[in-house]
Amino acid sequence: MSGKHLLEIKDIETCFKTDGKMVCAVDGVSMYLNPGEIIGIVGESGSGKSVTMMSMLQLIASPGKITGGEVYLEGNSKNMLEYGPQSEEMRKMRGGKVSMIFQEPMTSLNPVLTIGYQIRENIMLHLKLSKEEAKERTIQMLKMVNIPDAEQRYNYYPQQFSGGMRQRIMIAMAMSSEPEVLVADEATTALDVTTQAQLLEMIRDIAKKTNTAVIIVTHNLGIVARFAERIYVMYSGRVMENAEAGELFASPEHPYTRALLRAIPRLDDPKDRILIPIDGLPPNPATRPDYCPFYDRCEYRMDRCKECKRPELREVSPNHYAACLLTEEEKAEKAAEIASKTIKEAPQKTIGSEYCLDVKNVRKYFPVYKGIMKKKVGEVKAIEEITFHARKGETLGIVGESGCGKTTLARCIMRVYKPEEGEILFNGTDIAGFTDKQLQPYRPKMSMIFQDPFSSLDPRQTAESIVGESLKLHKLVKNKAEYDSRVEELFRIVGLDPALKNRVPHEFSGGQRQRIGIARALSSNPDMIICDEPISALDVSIQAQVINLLEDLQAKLGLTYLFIAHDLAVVKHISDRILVMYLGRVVEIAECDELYNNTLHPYTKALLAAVPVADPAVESKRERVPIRGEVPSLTNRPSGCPFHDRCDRVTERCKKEVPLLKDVGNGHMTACFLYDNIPEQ
Amino acid sequence: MGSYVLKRTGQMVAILLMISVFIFMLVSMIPGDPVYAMLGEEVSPEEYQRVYLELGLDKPVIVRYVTWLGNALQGDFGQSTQFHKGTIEVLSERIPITLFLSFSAFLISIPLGIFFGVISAVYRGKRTDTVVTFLANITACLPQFWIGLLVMYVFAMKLGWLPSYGFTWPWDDFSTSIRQLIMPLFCLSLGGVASITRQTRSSMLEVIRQDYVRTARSKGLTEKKVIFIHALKNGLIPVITILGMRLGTMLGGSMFVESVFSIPGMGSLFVKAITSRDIPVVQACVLVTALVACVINLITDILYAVVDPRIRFE
Amino acid sequence: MERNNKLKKFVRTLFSRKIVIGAFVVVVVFILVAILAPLLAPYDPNYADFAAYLSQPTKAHWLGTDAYGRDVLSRIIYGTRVSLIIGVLAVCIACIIGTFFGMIAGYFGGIVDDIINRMTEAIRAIPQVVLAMALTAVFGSGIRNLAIILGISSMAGYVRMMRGQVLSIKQADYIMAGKLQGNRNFQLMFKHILPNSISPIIVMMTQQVGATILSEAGLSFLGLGISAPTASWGSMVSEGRLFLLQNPVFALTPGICVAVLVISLNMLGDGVRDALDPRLRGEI
Repeated sequence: MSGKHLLEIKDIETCFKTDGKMVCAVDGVSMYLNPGEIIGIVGESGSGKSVTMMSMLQLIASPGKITGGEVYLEGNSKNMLEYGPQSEEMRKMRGGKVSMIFQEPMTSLNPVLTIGYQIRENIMLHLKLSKEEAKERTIQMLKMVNIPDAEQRYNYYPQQFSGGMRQRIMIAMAMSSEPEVLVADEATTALDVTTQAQLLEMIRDIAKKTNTAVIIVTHNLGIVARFAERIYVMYSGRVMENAEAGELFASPEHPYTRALLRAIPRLDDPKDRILIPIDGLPPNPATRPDYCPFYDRCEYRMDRCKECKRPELREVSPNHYAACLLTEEEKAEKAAEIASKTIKEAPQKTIGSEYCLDVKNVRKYFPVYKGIMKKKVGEVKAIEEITFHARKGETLGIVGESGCGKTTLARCIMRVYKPEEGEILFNGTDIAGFTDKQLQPYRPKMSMIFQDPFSSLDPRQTAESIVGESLKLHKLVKNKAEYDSRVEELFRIVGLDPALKNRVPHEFSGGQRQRIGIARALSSNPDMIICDEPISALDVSIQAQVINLLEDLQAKLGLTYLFIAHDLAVVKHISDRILVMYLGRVVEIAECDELYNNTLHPYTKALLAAVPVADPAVESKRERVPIRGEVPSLTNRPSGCPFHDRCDRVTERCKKEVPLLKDVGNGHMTACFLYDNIPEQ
Repeated sequence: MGSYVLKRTGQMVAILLMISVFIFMLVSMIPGDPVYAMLGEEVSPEEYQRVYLELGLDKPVIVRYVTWLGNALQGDFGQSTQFHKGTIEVLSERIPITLFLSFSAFLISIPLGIFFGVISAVYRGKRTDTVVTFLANITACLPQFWIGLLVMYVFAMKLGWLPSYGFTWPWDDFSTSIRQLIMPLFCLSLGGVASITRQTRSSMLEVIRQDYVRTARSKGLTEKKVIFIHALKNGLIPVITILGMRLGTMLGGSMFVESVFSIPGMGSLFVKAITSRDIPVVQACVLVTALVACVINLITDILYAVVDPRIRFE
Repeated sequence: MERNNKLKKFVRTLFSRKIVIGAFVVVVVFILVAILAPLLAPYDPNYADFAAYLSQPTKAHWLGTDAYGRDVLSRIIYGTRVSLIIGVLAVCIACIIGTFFGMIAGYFGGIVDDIINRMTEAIRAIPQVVLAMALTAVFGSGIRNLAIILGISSMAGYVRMMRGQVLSIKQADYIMAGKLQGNRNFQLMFKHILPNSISPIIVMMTQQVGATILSEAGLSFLGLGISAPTASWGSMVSEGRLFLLQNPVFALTPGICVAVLVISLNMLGDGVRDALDPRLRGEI
């Protein structure tokens, strides 16, 4: 068996000791990799994908322990795991044969050593070059990953680079020892979508040029669809399905894969696509059942699934493996049954004509202080000349990459910040200049849902007092009985069992916590809710549940949403109109379909092109819009059009003047000189 | 870097000014008439008048403070009420001894503490770690004066190996000096070694968990290189920040050790000045220790910036 | 119900290590000794039996007598009271004042923060022992004054800790959520910030009791703390040092008591830290 592949992992089992019990995070995972191949390992958090990779390289730290399995490298008949983690052989494999890039670019490089030293060290160790030769190769590598002024930056420290740059440096370091395998463990997850696309494309190009095999570990189905040739789907410490990328997306075999694809929104979805969430939660590894771990959430489940041991991978069609007991016939039968079930209709909402929110020319600057005396030396122009409106009952999506000012905008509207200039008309009243006291009566009418379900709930309060706090603060209930019944009602509205109301936040799962956050936002009967990245911290199988809940609530209660997110597929799914921001300015506003079908602004085009679609068939046909550089920091915003230094259609005028937002028809507005000759509507 | 040093120096001066206000206020914080409090009730009217004017009690507070600070900056803290001599005269021979003891103990405890801390972090959970941590935990809690008496009883009184009291400068009589210094320095360094060990250990353990250490391991570096090149420098950064405080503790500890081994340093004088309410001497002692502690803090801050590029490029 | 479970879990983790159980037992024994001192002490601690001064340990005087013929054992038993009272009182004073200022500084920021922060730094710049000594020159000694002095001189740590806590908690979304719901400043501070920052403060308190007892013993040893005739461990060591050769038990035993009590308190403090919030390991 061994010797066929470049790298082969067999039945890896890795356990962690928690509370005196051994809990297996990886429970018998096998996979292989051929020379020059790009494979994807996709799974939700806790599925064991990263731990599998770390186990392969014996990087598991205490209290974790590799309890079984084999790793073979390049036809070597000796199991690499038999060498200790500190052995000569293992160290040659780590970094030499198999290099790894990690998730957090901000913490993965040593802050007190120069990047030159860190890369050089790797080269000297594995290629046995002299210091000078290693330095030369380091600079060469830095140039390869497009680090400008590589010679000077050789002596820079990691913190002098942006996140995207640091990840380039990690790539340079990983590739510097001419490895045969490159493992990218969620390497682009923490980065903006345009940077993410740039980096993954760069990894692919370099790998193809040097015939390096790549393992892309990610939770993002779009990324594997775009980049991987073969895919492993993991769930609860096991491989559920393994197939060629095209085959996997065209005819997924495992019920889990099928369910995932039905649950995630895609950029190319029609507007009325209904997401079908996967019920329940992934099993806790400590209490994982003996039978199929997906059984409890599976739509295809049959009684015998529960009676049998966990199913092993078996070949369902040539080179397509799935770990499911059901036969083709049984699955087809079940699939028909599921399809015949009436899918809940998309909730019908009514959008009014009057404005719930009308923002005019809002500007927010933050002062910059320097020196001992805290002298004001300048300003960071966080947002400028923001103008838009949201109608009653409408969802306005706000998208943009980090630093574009979407959170600042949200906080200005919620009046956490006081804008320097402009009007914020909420239900017709300008609240931009209100004092805290004047704002009190308006507070209950606007609410906010936060990104991080772990930091947005006070860990010391019970769920009940979190949900009920504003009822008491604003005296929205008359007595204890009314309070209790209102709290219970709120729990039920968001799909939580009121019996759980005395629990504290850490006793809930991420999805449940977000529901508590939604219940809190609803408690004061608001007219408008600002959703600040409400689902980006959740696992894909949970996201659909929350999206559907938000849509139902909107239809039922006639809420207006400002939906802030960086995931364009999700924004497209939920929004009626979309506002695109770049470096503190609005660059484009349009109806949802109009924006996607008739994209005007070059930035929007690049942004949309960067988002991978979870379908290799679609991906192969898509137009690529290359985008240069990274989002600059707000402190050195270019003059003129903020996008001009990355735009491929830049003119002299763009460098001097700031284009203003202009209606080009159908309420489609954009701020770009390209559309200057179209008459204003 | 230059602006960082400048900023830190500015902050130090500000802190010292604040301390000087506090020290100056010591006189006014004494309940009742400060002159009586300092000299006792049975003072002669002339003496009362002299001290009253010397303290400037007839002038407004601000004026008094500025005059006092001006004099203090020139080394004049006024007359010691118990010795009837200039305060600085009384202190000038004693301060160097205390500083010598504290600095020696400081310099001894840093390398030892770092060594033990790194050792126990590297062998985490092994027997070495258990023993080192246990000893460090215990010695950090032992009263210095008690250790002093204990070693004195054993090595001076019972075994007769070392002299039980006295102080000689090393350049006056080297062998006597060393024999006299062994026990005081041992007592003074023990607590420092223990607490630096604990700090280093926990900071190293923290660093070993970091992502960049995992990156270093993933490159196939030997464990030795991972620890001594990638982890140690990071691990020492928080240790450096507490070193400044450590010297202050040494200065405080010196008070006890001087008392136990009858060393004619600042400590015994300070104690005497407190019991006899000799305020000028108390003020001078506090200001000197604070000044030394602040300067050391400044030096460690600069050292910190040298080690940690994050500060340099802030 | 939930509270109860939490308490159970806390107690279980606290006592999961044998050494913490040992430390707890020792501390309880010392507390009992302090409370039951009149019952346990064989003699009045201040009764001077001039006929039997500086006696070696005998059946009548287990640890011998001091220069005035007072029973050393009885004085040590009464000394427990002084140490524990001052230790606990000083820590409470430091904690209440320090936490208050730390919260104000962290929450309001700006000029208030600057002033409090600079003052704290100034206090921290003076070595703690020296500061306490200087304050005894002003306030004088005695149990109450000593508790205040030691409280003031160890207050800066709480200010810093609380300020840091508030600054980090202030960043959390739930504080913004609370604000958006219309909570006022003091409501936010006491309902949301204080409960979430209390555990490191509790840990710090448990660990500080030992350190304070150590400082008290030190001051008393120097003759600046508890003055005669009240029995205090530090001053007993000081009295006993003159007779170290004749009766080492007299000088060394009170010191052993200080060491054992402080070590046990610190181990218990470490246990509390690990049980309350293991992330704090290494920070405090």
